[in-house]
Amino acid sequence: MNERMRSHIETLFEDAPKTRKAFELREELLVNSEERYQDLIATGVSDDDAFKHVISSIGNVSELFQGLVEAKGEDKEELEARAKKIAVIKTAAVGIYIFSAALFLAFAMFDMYSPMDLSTLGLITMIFIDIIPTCMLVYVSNLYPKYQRKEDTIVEDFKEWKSENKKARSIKGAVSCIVWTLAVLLYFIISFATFAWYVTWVIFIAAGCAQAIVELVFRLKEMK
Amino acid sequence: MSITSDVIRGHTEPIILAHLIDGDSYGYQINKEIMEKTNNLYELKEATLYSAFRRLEEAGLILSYWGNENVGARRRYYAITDKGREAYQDYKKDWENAKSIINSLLK
Repeated sequence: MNERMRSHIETLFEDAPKTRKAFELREELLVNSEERYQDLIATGVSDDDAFKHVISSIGNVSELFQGLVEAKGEDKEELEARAKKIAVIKTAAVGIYIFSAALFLAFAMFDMYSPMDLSTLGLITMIFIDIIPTCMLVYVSNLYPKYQRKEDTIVEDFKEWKSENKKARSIKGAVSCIVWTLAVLLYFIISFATFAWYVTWVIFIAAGCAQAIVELVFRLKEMK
Repeated sequence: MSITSDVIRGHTEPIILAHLIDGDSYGYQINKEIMEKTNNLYELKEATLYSAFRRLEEAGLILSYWGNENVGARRRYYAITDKGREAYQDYKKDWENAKSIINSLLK
């Protein structure tokens, strides 16, 4: 391989994005230029003229690099739009949780003035309402996109790993949210049904166990 | 001369497709054939050629693979796909049409 040509082409690629595509392009250009150079030498052209001819026939490489970096802009917009969507859904879910809790409290407060068992009614209403935000949170946790590699670099490897982690974390968050909500609901339902308040608190210990199991499952998954 | 080279540059992609229909090839060989067919009058700049390769590959009209030469560096070969053949036929019809229109307009 002609060293002069190699170093010239390597200089051309100094500003190119450090991606596999760019690397392959450089190899392709090197091999083809070398062959052209050898052909010229074989027809009796001097070293210097052959070098100049090969270099001039490469043309403007910056148009090649443009294609290697583009794509990024629109991708960013899409990600921002998704982040916004996730934030809106999460906020709405939290709002609905608070609303359902307030509704339950209101029912409980009016309980004493009513002949009906408003507390139980309020509790059941709350559970039904809570189904909606719980579903929303589970949906949001699946909304985090699996990171799409744009370029083959180590930085991209890291981003992919980070994105997987983030997704796993958000699923874990949703699961433990469900566990604790269910624990609280069960506590009230069983307590009101049985009036065994002295023993129903055990549910929270069970919920703690469930949380630990969730943690364990995720750790095991990570280790795979 | 300037019209010709502009027209050739504007048809880089179908020219590549036409060459690949005869068999798989690589950058320099395609350029060499262009020079031979035009009596050494025209050739494509490498940069023009490679951007065309990438556009064609992204459109699914061609495929690329690295050859396994035993001696020296490996070449990157290109092969035409079925979709590429179709695109070539369409383009050829289009070109014949355009040619006759330009001819009748220049009479």
